[in-house]
Amino acid sequence: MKKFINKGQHFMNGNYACVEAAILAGCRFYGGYPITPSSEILEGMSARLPEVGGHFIEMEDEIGSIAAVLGASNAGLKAMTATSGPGFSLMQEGIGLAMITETPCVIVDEMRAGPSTGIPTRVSQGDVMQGRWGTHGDVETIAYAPNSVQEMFDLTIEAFNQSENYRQPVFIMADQVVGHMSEKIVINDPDEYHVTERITRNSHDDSMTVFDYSRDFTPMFLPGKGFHGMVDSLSHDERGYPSNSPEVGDMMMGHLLGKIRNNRDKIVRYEEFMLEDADIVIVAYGILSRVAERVVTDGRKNGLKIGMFRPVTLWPFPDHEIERLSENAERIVVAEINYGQYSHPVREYSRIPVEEIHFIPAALPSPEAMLRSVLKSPEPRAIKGGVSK
Amino acid sequence: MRKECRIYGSGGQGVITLGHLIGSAAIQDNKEAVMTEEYSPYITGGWSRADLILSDRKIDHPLVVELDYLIALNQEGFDENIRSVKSDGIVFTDSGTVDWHNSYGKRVISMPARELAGKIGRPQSANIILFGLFSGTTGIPGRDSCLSAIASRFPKHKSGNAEAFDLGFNAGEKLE
Repeated sequence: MKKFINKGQHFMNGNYACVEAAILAGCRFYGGYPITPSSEILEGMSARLPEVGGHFIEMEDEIGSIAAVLGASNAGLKAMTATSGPGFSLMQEGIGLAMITETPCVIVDEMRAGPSTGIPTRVSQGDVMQGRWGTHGDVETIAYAPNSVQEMFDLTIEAFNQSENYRQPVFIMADQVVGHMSEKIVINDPDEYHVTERITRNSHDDSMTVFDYSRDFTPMFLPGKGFHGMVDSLSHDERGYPSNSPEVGDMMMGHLLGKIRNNRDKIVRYEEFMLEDADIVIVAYGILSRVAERVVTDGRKNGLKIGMFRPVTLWPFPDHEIERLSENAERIVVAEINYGQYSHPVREYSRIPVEEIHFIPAALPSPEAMLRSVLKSPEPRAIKGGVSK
Repeated sequence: MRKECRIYGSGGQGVITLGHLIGSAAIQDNKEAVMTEEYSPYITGGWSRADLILSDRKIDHPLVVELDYLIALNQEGFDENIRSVKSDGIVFTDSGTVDWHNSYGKRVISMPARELAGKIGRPQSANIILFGLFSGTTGIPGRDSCLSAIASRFPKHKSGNAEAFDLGFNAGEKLE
C-alpha cells in the first residue's frame, strides 16, 4: 500500500497524473461512469482509493455519479468525478444542486468532439461555454484548462483547494490530448504542496446558522453529529429553510455570486507569452495553446511582433487582462478547436474588433496551419499533423 | 534537438509499450518527451501507433508532423508511414516480416527481430530488440536509461529483456 506516488520524475499520461494529484489533495471518494477520454481517471481511482482508505463506486450513469459525489461531499469527504461532454451534460442538474447547496467537489470534463457522443476519441474544445452556463440559473463557475500533464497534476490540486475555499464545484476542462498524452512530470514531496483541508464546524455549535450570507465562507456541518442543519435545493435563507421571498432569494444569490466575484483576483490565472511588444495577440487555451506557442516562437524568428495570452482559468473570465491587452494590440485573434465560443467573452471585453480562428474538432492543427490562419494566407486550412492515421 | 518518432504495428506487438519505454528512458537522460497514442477499436490485431517527440527543450506542439524516425513493426506500419519520414530520417524495421525495399530513398535499418526473439525464447520481445537497435543507432536514449526503464516496467523479466535489448543495441552500435 502506497499512500502517495514517489516524488521525482515520472513519464505518465494526464489522466493518471490527475488521479495522483486527487489522492494527494485529499480526495477520498470517486463516483463515476467510464467515458472516453476520461476513463483512466476512473480506472486509476478504483485502484488507488482503496489503498488510501477512500471509497470508489462505479455508478449506473453520470446523473447517479454526480449525485453520489454530492452526497459524499456533504457527508464530509472530498469527492470528485470525471467525464466527457455527454456525461457533463447529464451532470448539469446536479452541478446546479452543488452550486445552491454550496457543496465542494471537483468535476473533470475531458472535451471530445461533440455534440452528443460525437467523435469519442478525438480532441475538441466545444464544452467551454457549458463550463460557464451549462446549468440553469445564475452561477459563477471556476474552470481550469490545463495544457500539459504537469498542469493536469498541479491544477487538480488547486481545483480541490478552490472548491474547499469557495464551497462550490470546480471544473477541470481538459481535453482528449491532455488526458491521453504521456509526458514528463515532476512530483515533489507531498509536504511541499499546499492542501486546503475541509473546515467543518464543531458538531454542537449552534451559534452559526447553516449559511452566513454576510461572509464568503461558512464552515460546513457534518450530518449526524448533532447539528440541526438543513440543505435544500430551493432558494433558502441562512438557516437553510426554503423561501419564496424575492428578498431572501436575492440575498442568497448575492452571496453565491459574490463569493466568487469578490475573490476574482485570487482565482483568475493566466499566462502571457512574448506579449511585451506584440501587435498580434493570439488568445488560446488548453492544448491548442501549445500549438500557438510554437506559432509565436516561429513568428518571432521571422520578425512578426506576435504573442500569446493563455487563460489558465477559463472561468472566471480574465476580463481586465483582455481589456488591458486590447489597448496596445493591433489584432486580437482567438484560436479554438470549436466553431467559436470563447471568442464571445473576449469580444465583450476587447476594445478592438476580435478575430476568430476555428479549428475543426477531432484534430489538433499543425503550427503551419495555425500560422496560415493567423496571417490569413490564402492556402486551404488543411488539418495536417500527427492526428490522422 | 527535437526528434519526432512514430512506432507503428499491430495491437499486441507492444507498440504503445515500446513508446512508453522510450519516453521513460528519455526523461532519465534529462530529455523532454511527449507521447501520444492511438489504436483501432480492436484489442489485438488492429493497428496501433505511438508517436513520440524527444527534445532537449520544453516541447510545445505535442504532435508529430514529419518523422525523424519510424519504427515499423509490421508491413502496414512501413507502407502507411514511409512517405512521412524526412529525407534524412531513419526507418527501423523487422526484416523477417516487413518488405522494406520500396523505401523512397529513406535509410532503412532492419533485423529479423521476431525470429531472433524466438531464438532466445522470448517471442514477445521483438519490440525490445528494435528498441535496442534504435538506441544503439541513434544514441537516444542511452543504453543504461533504456535498461533501467525496461527493468522498472518488467521487473520479473529483467535479464531476458536485457538480452533482447543488447541483441539490437550491439547491432545498431556497429553501424556507421
